[in-house]
Amino acid sequence: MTQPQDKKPKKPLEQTLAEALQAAKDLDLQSSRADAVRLAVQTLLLIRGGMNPDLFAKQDRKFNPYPALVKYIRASNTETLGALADDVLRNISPEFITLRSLGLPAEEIYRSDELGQQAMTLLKEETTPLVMLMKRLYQEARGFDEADSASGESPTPSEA
Amino acid sequence: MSPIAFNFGPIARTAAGGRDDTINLASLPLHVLLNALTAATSAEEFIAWLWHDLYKPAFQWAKKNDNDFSWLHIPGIGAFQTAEKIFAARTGIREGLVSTHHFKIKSLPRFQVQEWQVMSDQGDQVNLGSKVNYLQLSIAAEPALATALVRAAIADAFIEVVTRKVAAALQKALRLKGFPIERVRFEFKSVYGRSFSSPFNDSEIWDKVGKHFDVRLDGTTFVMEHVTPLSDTTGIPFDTVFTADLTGKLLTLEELINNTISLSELLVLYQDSRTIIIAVPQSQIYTIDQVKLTQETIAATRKRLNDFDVLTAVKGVDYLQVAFKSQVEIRKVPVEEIEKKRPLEKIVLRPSELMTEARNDPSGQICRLTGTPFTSSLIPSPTSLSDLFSSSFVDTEFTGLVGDISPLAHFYLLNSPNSDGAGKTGVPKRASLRGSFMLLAPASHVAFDEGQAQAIDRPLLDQGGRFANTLSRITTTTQEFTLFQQMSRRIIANLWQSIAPGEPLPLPYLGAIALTHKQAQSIKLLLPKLKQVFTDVTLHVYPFEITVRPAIEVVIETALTDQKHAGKHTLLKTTPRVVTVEPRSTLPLLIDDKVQINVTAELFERAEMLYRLMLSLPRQKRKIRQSDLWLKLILNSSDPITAVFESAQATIDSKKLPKNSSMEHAAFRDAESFWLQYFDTDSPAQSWDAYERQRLETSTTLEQFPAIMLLIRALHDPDTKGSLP
Repeated sequence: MTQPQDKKPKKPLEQTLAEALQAAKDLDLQSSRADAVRLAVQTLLLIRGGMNPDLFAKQDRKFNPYPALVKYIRASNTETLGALADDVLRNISPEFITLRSLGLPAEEIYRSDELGQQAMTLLKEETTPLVMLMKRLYQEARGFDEADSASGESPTPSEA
Repeated sequence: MSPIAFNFGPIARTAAGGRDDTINLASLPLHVLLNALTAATSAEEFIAWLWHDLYKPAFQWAKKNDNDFSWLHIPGIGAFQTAEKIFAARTGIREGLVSTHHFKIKSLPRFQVQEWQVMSDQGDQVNLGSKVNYLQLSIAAEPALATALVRAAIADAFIEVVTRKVAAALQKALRLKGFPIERVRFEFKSVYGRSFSSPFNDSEIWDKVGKHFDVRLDGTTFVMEHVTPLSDTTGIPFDTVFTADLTGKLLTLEELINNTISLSELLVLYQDSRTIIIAVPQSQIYTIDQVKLTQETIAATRKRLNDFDVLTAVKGVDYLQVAFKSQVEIRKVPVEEIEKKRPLEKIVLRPSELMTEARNDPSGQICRLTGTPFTSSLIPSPTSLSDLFSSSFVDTEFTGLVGDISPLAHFYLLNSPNSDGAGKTGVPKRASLRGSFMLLAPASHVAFDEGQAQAIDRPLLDQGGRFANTLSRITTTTQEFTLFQQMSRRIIANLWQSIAPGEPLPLPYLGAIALTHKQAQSIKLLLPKLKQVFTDVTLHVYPFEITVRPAIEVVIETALTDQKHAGKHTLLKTTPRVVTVEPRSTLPLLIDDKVQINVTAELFERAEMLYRLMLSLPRQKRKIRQSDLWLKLILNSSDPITAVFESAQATIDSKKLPKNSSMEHAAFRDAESFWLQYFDTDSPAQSWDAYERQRLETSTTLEQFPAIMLLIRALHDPDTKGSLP
């Protein structure tokens, strides 16, 4: 997972999320669980995208969203993807943001079919590797990551 | 697991003509050396035998009729007409001795013992050579592990004693114009790009090939140079140097691995766990004294057993003498009056014959420890069980042993943990015949697929087309048995070299590794190296190349964390097994007194793979190691990344974390670096697929290989204890 060299955002969060979500949909996986993996990653991106940029603004204690994601997903008692996303996001970033690009995936994860259950199981059992994959997609789309401790970005509300 | 390849020189014998169409795998150096050692009646004949087939590597073949070929190779005849005169003069032998090794010419001298009397059946070897002298060691005992070390020590001692005596006789007899011959070196070189007119003529073959051969004495080394014209050398492993040492000295492992063969290897025709058959020179060179041989073998055995810390005499009773009298026989293999032949398969069963005699003897007994029938006048003194067995003894089926113990098995009882004052305060328990044990010995067996023995080249001078078609069969003579052992010995030597470079094998004349509980650490070091047993072995024997499966007799027993292992008589729980060296092999491994597993290449590879992954997990908190925990987690269906995360959480010392960090952060970093190390690629999809492959492989590991954790610990756990309580 290569860390971006350029420490300034190349694109707004809106565009980042849209591209990362598209990359997740386009993942050409050989796995028999490919559809569930893609849906699980979309769920993670939805949570990641909804995090308030203010979380990353504190200079004294850098916030790293990925261990937090692992922690709260593993701790959650929810049973559906939608409930899980809601539960985790409220724990990490109660004042979450909304982006237009989050609309469609948000709709997709509120489902109760078998695929949704598979993705849910995956997220609960293989949280950490899925977060690795999501992180990679997010960073590639963003060209930069607020979670990078060397980052000096201070996202503005207007971006949100 | 890198493949092993041997090249001891080109083939030396084929049968062609009529319905025969076969080859033998023993190389030219082996063939001529074994002829010289077993058939020569004088130094002159010995030297003549060494170069009697000098020109076989020219591979000049002529067609006689429809299905009959001649291998034109004799110095003094045809293209090589002038060679005999030159080399006979140089080596001080009479002209004619070499050229008549296939034909009788009244006016010319001839070998006293002919080739057909050395290898009585050129095709399949059924009988020992009719005029060859053989010594045989027979140990009348079932191949139980309780007697394995003593049997191996006797075998090693026997080979050493005979080798030293033959070497002394050779040194006395073998002189070329006053100079001793201590070594024989065969050099094989290929040349290509030489064109020949069609049809060939003798003077052309002599000019372009024959005159480039050489025979000479270089110091104390008898040297023969051979040249083989090839149409193209690309991809054909041909050139090699092969050296035989006739001094009887122990060779270094490096020499062995680099194509030097010892006198003991050349002499030993056959060996298994109960019998050794050694060919010795004709009586004009070496006189057999069976009584002296036996006495000296007993003395040499005692020295070895002392070195292994094995008691051989207690309270005035010399148990080694008793064992030799009752269960060990050294004899000259007789020629039977009626058949006048000595079938090999019958001779190797001599130990069984001896046991049958004991079984039928009115005073015969059956050993309660090993099942061996025996007769013995030794009445063991009453022993109390507490002397024989420690308090942690687990083999309850053997309690109550007071009599009916064969003399060889007595060593097992004599050397119990508490025997002869051992086990008391300040005296370590005796563990030479208890606890961890390893024996790797060459076995006179080999397997190969005849169908794979295709000629990889058609020699340039094969004008007759001998190698134009597929050969029908590979046949085995006594000389192939030497070849088979030669490969097994080198594989074992290579294993030993990997953990003890420069050190001789523990039983060097037998070519065996024997390690007792005292060397438990060496056993542990050797275990990971045993992956060499799961490798392909190729024999290059020009113009053929064949995959062979040499055999090794194996016993492996190792304690893991059981501190009282050596007190539990675990040697009674396993038996030696002959395994072949090949990817499909299986190795029996007794882990402790409860668990025995069969190690396969797949199990070995899986264990190695998991161990490689474990190496990147160094955390440890008190006695909990992250790598151990990770292994347990993945074997319990965790994915490898989650297992890193969770094992890190359990082994991170939170007091040592930086102020702005947390357990989750540190564990996540561990998981992330593991991901980056093993799964990261240019493409996120490919990274995930790599992760999934690994997850699938690890998640099925326990199902496929229930003993994987034990094997990983056996192979790699440096803390495994082998010491006595």
